[in-house]
Amino acid sequence: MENNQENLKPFSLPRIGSPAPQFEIATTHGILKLEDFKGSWVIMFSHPADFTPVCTTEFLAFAEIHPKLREMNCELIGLSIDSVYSHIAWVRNIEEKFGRKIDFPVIADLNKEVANLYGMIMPGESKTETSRCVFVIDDKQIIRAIIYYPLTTGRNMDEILRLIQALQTTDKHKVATPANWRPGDKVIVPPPSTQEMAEERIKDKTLECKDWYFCKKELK
Amino acid sequence: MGCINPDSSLTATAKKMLQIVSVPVPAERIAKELSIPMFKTRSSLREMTGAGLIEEKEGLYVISGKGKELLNK
Repeated sequence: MENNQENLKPFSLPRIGSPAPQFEIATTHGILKLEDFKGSWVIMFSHPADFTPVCTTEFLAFAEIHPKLREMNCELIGLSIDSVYSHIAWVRNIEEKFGRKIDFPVIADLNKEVANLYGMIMPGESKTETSRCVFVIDDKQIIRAIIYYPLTTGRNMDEILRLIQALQTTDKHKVATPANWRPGDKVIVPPPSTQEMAEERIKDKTLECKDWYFCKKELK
Repeated sequence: MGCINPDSSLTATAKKMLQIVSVPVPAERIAKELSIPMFKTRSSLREMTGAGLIEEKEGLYVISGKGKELLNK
């Protein structure tokens, strides 16, 4: 009975804006701590299992955007509930069969320590595999964005790149980004929070305003 | 990163790292000289200081007597 209650206990789920839960764990690059990544942005993503087709396409796709992410001071960490030996065999197989080297670390989360810490397992889908989760962690180790995809559906790398570009633009320029924003597009000026600010905003000739709450500007 | 093999020998990167820390240097310098990311450098330094091969003093890393012994083996 006690065990059943333990099994029903909900696992933690990190929230946007909260510090990323810390861990120390075996990876294909040795024992890593999350704090080793301080100063870099991090995309930590989980996949259901090694040697599976959708996951293989995703690893190839993540490896393809890895250099662009590095240029944005962003590192990648993969994770699944597999052993480090399975990970090593799989990344070697990917290099041999597809000609692409996987040079980001992959967490071997056999005891589901990080998967449970980050709420990566969706019991309604699978109790033994992690879903396709993405946690964007900034250079101060704060969770900035979370994406969840089901087992069946591979993730979109363009969107992940766009998300990092948007978050870093927000941090640098203190702006927001509109739907379908791409680097170079106009950005949203956060709406004024007082009536006085609203009146000043509508008179600001440097902005393109539809109304006091909806103003865009070009980034220089 | 796994600097020390199961048979206690050093990986190629570990040997290079020991050569770099022949004089006290900060972690950033090691990362730059090895062309590896900071997370790998921090992890390796933790492993090698834990094994007594490198010593850390006021944010600078330097090879220990044990590290010199292993490097010259």
